[in-house]
Parts: sequence; C-alpha cells; structure tokens
Amino acid sequence: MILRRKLLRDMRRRRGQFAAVVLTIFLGIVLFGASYDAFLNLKASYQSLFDDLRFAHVTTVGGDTQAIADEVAARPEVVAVTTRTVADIPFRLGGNHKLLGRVVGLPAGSQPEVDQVMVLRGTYLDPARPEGVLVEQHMSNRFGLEPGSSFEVLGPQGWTQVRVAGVVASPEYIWPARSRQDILTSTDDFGVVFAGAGLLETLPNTAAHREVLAFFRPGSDGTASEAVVRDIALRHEAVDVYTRAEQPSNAALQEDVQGFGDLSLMFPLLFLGAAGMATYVLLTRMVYSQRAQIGLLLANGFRRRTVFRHYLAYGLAAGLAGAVPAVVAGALLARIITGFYTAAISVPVTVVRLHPETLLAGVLFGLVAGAVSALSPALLASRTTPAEAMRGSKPPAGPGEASSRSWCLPCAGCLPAGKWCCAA
Amino acid sequence: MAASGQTPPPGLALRGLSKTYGEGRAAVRALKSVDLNIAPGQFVVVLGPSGSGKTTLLNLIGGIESPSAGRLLIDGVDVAAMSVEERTTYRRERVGFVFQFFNLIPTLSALENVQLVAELVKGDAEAASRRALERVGLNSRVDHFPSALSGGEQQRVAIARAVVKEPPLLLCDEPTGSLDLDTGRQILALLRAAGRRDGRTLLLVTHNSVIARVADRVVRMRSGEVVADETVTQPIAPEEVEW
Ligand SMILES: Nc1ncnc2c1ncn2[C@@H]1O[C@H](COP(=O)(O)OP(=O)(O)OP(=O)(O)O)[C@@H](O)[C@H]1O
Ligand SMILES: [Mg+2]
Repeated sequence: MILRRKLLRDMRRRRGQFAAVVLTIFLGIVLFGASYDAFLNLKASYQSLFDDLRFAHVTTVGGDTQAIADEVAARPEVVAVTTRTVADIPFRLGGNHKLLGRVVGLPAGSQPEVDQVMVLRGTYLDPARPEGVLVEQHMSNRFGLEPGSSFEVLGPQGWTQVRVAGVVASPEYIWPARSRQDILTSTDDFGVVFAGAGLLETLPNTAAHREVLAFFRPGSDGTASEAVVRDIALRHEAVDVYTRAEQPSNAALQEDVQGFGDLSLMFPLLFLGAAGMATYVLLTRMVYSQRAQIGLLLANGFRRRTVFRHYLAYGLAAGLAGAVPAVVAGALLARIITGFYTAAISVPVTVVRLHPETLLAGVLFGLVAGAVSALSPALLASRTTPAEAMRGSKPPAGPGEASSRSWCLPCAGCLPAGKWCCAA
Repeated sequence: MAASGQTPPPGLALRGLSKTYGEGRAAVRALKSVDLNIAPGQFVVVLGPSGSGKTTLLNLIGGIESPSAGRLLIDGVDVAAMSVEERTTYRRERVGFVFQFFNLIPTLSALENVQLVAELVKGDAEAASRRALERVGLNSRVDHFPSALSGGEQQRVAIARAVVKEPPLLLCDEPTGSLDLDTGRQILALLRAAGRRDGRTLLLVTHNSVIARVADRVVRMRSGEVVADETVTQPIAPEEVEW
C-alpha cells in the first residue's frame, strides 16, 4: 500500500527527529529489559542456590533446642531440621590481625540437612582431622586463606591453631553480615568459619549458643509454617526466631535486588515519557505541515479512520523501531549485569535465562508509548477538513507564528509558560 | 479509459444552495441561494473575482463541505442530505479534484501519487496509474518525485491522479493559476480532453476570463451569487488562449 510507503519516506525525511525519538524509546526499553531481566536472573540465582543448599526457612536461637527440634520435626510441612552450635570468638590472622569471628558447627564427614555449604576449593570437614575448618569465601578472599593455610582462634586455653580444609560459600553469608543490626559488616572485622564438634567443644560456653534450623516442604504455606515454628520456639524459651526473609544476609540481598526491580520501571518510564512528549510534538507538527495532504486524502475519499490509522502508525513504527532492538540489547545486557553482579558479591550460582515475558513487555511498552503519544496528533489529522486541500496550501494568514504554535501544542496556552510561548 | 462507458456523467441541479461560514456578526455568506443546472458531460467555467464564492461552490459540489441551506442534486440524489459515510463514498467514486497548488505528496513519486488514489477503487492500481500518466504525457517521468518536476508537470500528475479513478465529475480550482501561459494552455488542453473526449462533466473555476472561452458555458459569480450564465457558441481551442 502506497500510504505505507509514504510513512516510511516521511520517517526517512525527518530521520533526525525520528532517530532521536527511536533512540530515546530504545534507551528506555533497554534499561527496562536489562534491569528487569537482571532482577529476575538474580532472584532465580538466589533461589537456585537456596534450593541447592537447603537454606533454612526459619532459624531459632537458644531455649530448649532439643525440644524445639523434636516438635518442629513432627510438623508435616517440615522436611528437615538441624541443630547446631554457633560461637562468636576472636580470630588472629597473619600474626597480628584480630577480629571477632564466628564459628558455625557442622557435622564432620557429611553436610547438614539444612544450611549446607558449597565447597569452592579444598575439601569438606574430615572427622579424622578435627583441627580442620572450612573458611567462608569472603574471609578467605580478604585474608588469602586457602586450603592448607592456618590461623588461630581464641579458646579457653588461649590461642589455638586451626587449619583450613576448604573454602566454602554459604547461603547465610552471601552478604557477610554479622547481624540484622550490623548489616554493613566489614570483612576486616568479621569472618565466618565452619567447624566440627571437635573444635566447638573446646570453646567456652559463654560465647556459644545453640540454634535450630527448619527447612519446609516445597510448596508449603511459608507464612503459616513460619508462625507455627515461631510459636513452638517461643514456647520453649528461644531468645530469637528469624525467617529466611529476615536472615541478615538475605534481607540485605533482597533489598538490593528489589532495587533493580524498582529501577526497571522508574528510569524506563522517564525515558518513555520523554520519548512520548517528543513524538507528540513531532507528529503534531507533521500533521500541521501536512494539512493539505490530509485534505487531499479526505477529498479523494479516504476515510477518516484510514487517516487516523496512518498517523497513529508513525507512533507505532517509532515505538516498534525502538523496542525490537531494545529488547534484544536489554536481554544481552541483563546477562552481563547478572554476571558482574554475582561475581562482584561472590554469589556462587549464576542463573541467566531468557524471559519471554520481559521481551514481550518491552515491545508492548514501545508500542503503547508510541500509540499514546501519536493518539492526539492522529485524531487531529483525522478531523482535518477535506477543504484544507483547496484552501490550506499555505498556512493561514493572521497571527501566524503564535497561532501555529498554539496549534502545535493545543494545551500550551493553559499553562503559564505556554501562554508566554504562544504570545511571543 | 472512457469514463462514459462505466458511469454516465451526472447532471447537476443546484436549488437555493447557500453557504455561510461562522456565526453572528462574524458570519460570512459565501454563497447566497445559487440555482444552477448543469447537463451531463458539459464543460462549465465558473468565473468571478476573488472572494466571490467559486471555491465554496466547488467544495459543495465535490461533497467536501456541506451547504447551510438548499439542495444539491446529482442525478436526482441530494448530496446535502448524505451521511458523512455516504459523502465519502460519493467523493471516492464520483469526483476527481485538481487544485491550484497541485497538492502532490512530496515523498511519493509521480506514479505513487497517482497510485495512492487509484488504490481507492477496484482494479490494478499500478497499471491504471501508468495509463493515466501516459495520457498526460508523463510516461518518462513516472519515477520522479514532485521536487524534480516543473509546475506544469506536477499539475499533469495531479490531472492523472484526478482521472485515474475514472470519476464522472471533474472539479478544477484554478488549475492554471500558478502556471505560465504555455504550460497553462497544455493543462487546459489536457483537462478539456479529459472532459470532452472521456465524456465527463467538467467544472473549472478561474478568475481569468480568457480561459472561459474554451468552455461550453460560462457562469459568472459575484459576492456569492450567480450574476450571468452564458453558453459559448464557438469555444476556442486551448492553444488560442492568450493571457
Ligand atoms: N472556512 C471559512 N471560514 C470563513 N470564511 C470563509 C471560509 N472559506 C471561505 N470563506 C469566505 O467565503 C468567501 C468566498 O470564498 P471562496 O474561497 O469561495 O472565494 P473564491 O471565489 O474561491 O476566491 P479566490 O478567487 O480568491 O480563490 C470569502 O469571503 C472567504 O473569505
Ligand atoms: Mg478559490
């Protein structure tokens, strides 16, 4: 159809202006695609890690841990329960550097049922070598501790040497936070090691506490199950109960990831808004300058809805031209961002998926932005009188510039700045 | 491309046709109760000074504006009483327009400008457009864009565009108004051919009284009224026109 050729040639003729609009739409949708896909990828990465390592749904601290563990284990929605000892004690590294570290108990020889660790280098705890410990990766990276290195922990008999058997990642310390009150813990002051009963038994009781970890059946009602466990724990005088969402590392991560989710809408909306305004002004001007052509179409028997669709198509074409490459670029960028992010904060699992819903949403965003901004110019065009073909070959005489400006921005006169613009 | 073979040229009957623009004190009575009969196939020139209502008359007959009062019968059917949709169909099927400023779409080639309109009716739009351009002597310029064509050539494209749908009624508003003498003559000749030879009713508006002598009939207007209506007994050939 010839009208389609007119559309493409008109766009080529005003390629600078259309390119600017298309580029703005492109940027908006790239930002959307990249941040939203990265958001989904990161969520999936964490989820995958949490599933693999059976990250506790609820952790209870203190109280009658045996009674709590027994009662929690009897609940149908609970598939696994683990009890463990955790102690915060001073570490001494490299001769002189001291920090208040944390020792988390693990069964030697086999992974616990809940809150497992991922061995990145070296080996898991060996019951035959009770002095061996596993070092959490952030501490390993900070102090260069590798399998075979050693450092000291402060026990009742003074500084005791421990040997690094392996370097591990833990779902509880992806973001190494000491506590919910101390989210931004420096790795200079805090480190986590995992050790068997051999080491923990030598530590003073005052520094240690017992914990119960519960892992729920997939698909169970998390909130209800959490409440049940909390009730049981408090009945047995637990001093603290926290859920997976409240767990310090996870809480910090979720907040960060949510930031991506929020960004994925805010910035794109800004860009699409700007693109929409630009499209609106561009098309309104175009309709104005093409009044005689529009009159001609109508005089020859083109229907108003054909003219409406023709001018709406400019917006849709701009939206599509920006959106299609943008969703592809967005998905690629999301891949890169996800990789950078997981590498930067040492998430040991990176899940990168193509999300058709993001692609679709991106294209839809582009089309909607284009259509919405072309709506008013297209209506204006379709309401042109066919007599413009006879009379409108030249802009009407009279106030000229000012009237054409208020014609381009129909509501400009209502605004203070617009009044000035139209009166100038 | 004989229009007569398909739709016979219409007879026009204007009865008390009036058009007032605006309201109250700002009202402009552009047309004041015009009565006119035009026989099928007639070539009528409407003559009058600027502002006399010529374009308004053409717009009403062409169905692109509606009268404030009166009736406009085309083959007995009142155009004034048509719905918007019916009037669009009327324009599409029965009327061809030629304007003073050509009104070609600058981003379309000569052929595409014609084809755009040809697509509104059934048939092979491209073939019909090529034929129409050939009739106006532009077969070698079909792929040129308006900016590469002279004024006369542009007006010839416009004529091809007006006749490509084979409308029985051809309405021309100052078709030679922005052309020099020689080119104007060629255009007149083409229009007259499109009217007489193909059996169309042809209405041509101008304020140039010399042009009037090529027509069958001259209607003179002043201040929205028909002040004279003469039959030309010996129309001259367009080549003899001087202005
Ligand atoms: N849309 C309109 N609104 C108000 N007045 C109009 C409008 N269109 C035409 N007029 C007025 O109607 C009168 C007749 O106009 P028209 O265009 O028919 O004259 P014309 O004979 O074609 O003149 P010209 O030779 O200059 O083209 C003029 O006074 C004109 O100002
Ligand atoms: Mg006129």
